[in-house]
Amino acid sequence: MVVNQKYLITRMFIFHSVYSIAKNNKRSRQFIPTNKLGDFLAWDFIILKIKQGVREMGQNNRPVEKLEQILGERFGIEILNAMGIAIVVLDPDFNIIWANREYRKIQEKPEENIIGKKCYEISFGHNRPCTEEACAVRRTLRTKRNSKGLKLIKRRGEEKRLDVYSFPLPGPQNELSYVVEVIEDNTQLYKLVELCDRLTAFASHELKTPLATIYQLTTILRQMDLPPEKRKALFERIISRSQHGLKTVENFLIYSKIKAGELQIIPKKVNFYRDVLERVLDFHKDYTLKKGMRFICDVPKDLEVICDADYVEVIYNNLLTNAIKYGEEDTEIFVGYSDKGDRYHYFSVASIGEPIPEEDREIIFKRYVTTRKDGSGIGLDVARELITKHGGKIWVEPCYFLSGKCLSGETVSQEYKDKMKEGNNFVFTILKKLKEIQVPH
Amino acid sequence: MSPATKILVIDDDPDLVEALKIILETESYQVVSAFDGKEGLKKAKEENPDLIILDLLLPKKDGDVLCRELKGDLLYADIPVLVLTAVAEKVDVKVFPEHKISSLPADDYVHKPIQPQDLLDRVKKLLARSK
Repeated sequence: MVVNQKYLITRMFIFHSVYSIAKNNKRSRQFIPTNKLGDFLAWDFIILKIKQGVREMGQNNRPVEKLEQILGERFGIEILNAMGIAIVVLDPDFNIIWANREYRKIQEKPEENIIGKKCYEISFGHNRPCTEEACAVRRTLRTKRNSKGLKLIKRRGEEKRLDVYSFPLPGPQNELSYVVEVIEDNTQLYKLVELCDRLTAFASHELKTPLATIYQLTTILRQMDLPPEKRKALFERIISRSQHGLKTVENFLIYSKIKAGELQIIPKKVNFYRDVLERVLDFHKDYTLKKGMRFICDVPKDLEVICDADYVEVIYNNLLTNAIKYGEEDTEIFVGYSDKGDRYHYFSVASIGEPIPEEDREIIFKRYVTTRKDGSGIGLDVARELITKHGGKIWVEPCYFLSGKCLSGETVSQEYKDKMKEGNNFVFTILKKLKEIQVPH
Repeated sequence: MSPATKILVIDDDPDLVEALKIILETESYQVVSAFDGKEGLKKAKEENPDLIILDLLLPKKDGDVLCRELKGDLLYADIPVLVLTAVAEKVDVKVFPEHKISSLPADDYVHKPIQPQDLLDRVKKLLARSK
């Protein structure tokens, strides 16, 4: 088969032109698949236009000439290369005839390593075609119809999720000459969908638990004639559960504010112990007692810090929730402070528990990441964002515990490490000279 | 009804344990509690309760595993087990599909939110049956 690349590219250009027209035409926008949820019919519509164009070219070359006169062939190629979707043209033997820049970007290979190679060799390093079940191109070759599928490839150890649409491209005599494969790298989109599912499940569970308990306790109060002290005890529990539910909602609201870029802190000079820690430790007291845990707080009671107390409270809430949740029962949680004489205040929350593996110590603060099955992955992300707003940083380091003291991993020799309980110390900093913002009353 | 009738409540939610305790104490039952599966199994063996009220989603050892272990042990198989089920267990098919719940060797089930009188009636029936 003689490959007329110029002819192919011109057809591809028409493909693109139709796509562009449709994309810019509001009435046609409903046809454009902008993501994996996009309407597959859009491609039927586009391919129909291509076929019309091809037929016209077969009979009369004038439309192509006209287009070339107006725009020039090179311009067309540049447009195809500038597109954010990968386009590759294959012959019936799976040889790559042409690929745009996005395809080369996805495959992380230069043009000379792609053209003339088999597509399965480029995508998967195989020496034979994929099964028809897994390959949209194979299905198109057999059925001579459009097909779609999901392709998973690995690059630099990371999985890419590619939505693939394949279309038959007939030659002048209507024979199946080529297959056009249009590939959208929707890795990030799939990740977001997964995150969205996870957050929905997590938020539902986190809210359902306190609501179910509140419902249960109020049912008892309504249905049973209880002595006053028992009624009071139940009311106290209802209040406590409501507060926890509210804190959960607050975290999600802050998260959405952060993502929308709308979060602003209002730093003011506060007595750190009275205005932040006392409140936050009191809030978590019941939960620590239930696990037989207790706080050891080593923060000066007269420490003054310029910060947004409400948001620093959220930072502590997230760190302490994790410390209580993942910490060992009947142990201490250390809430510390140090001044190293530099530009920052250093705050810490340490607890005894399974140490976070070294390879996870950075990624746990990244967006959308959780290493725990029962976590949403937003707690530490929210904390990190709020700390960044305070000009600081957050990290976790291994630590060791001995006689009510928390020691950094660097200061303990291996000989003693083996005899001591291990844990995690979350350290965060706040810039000492944050600019105060005065809010008019 | 005997004041010495002992009921072991196994649930990881301390508020719910407290709620159950309040309900059961109105009928003068003695209530002991455990907050995870392992502690629950230990207390079931140590306290020798007359009845066990058991949640399914528990830390350390799930309620269904605990239930099977107790019912599979001749020493404890006669202790009636009343299982607490919630909407979450029904929805979360990965954790507790309905067929898994119905195949449990439990003696009875109570759906959350618990209606106090319903719970007391079921407890009474199970205790009467086991005597």
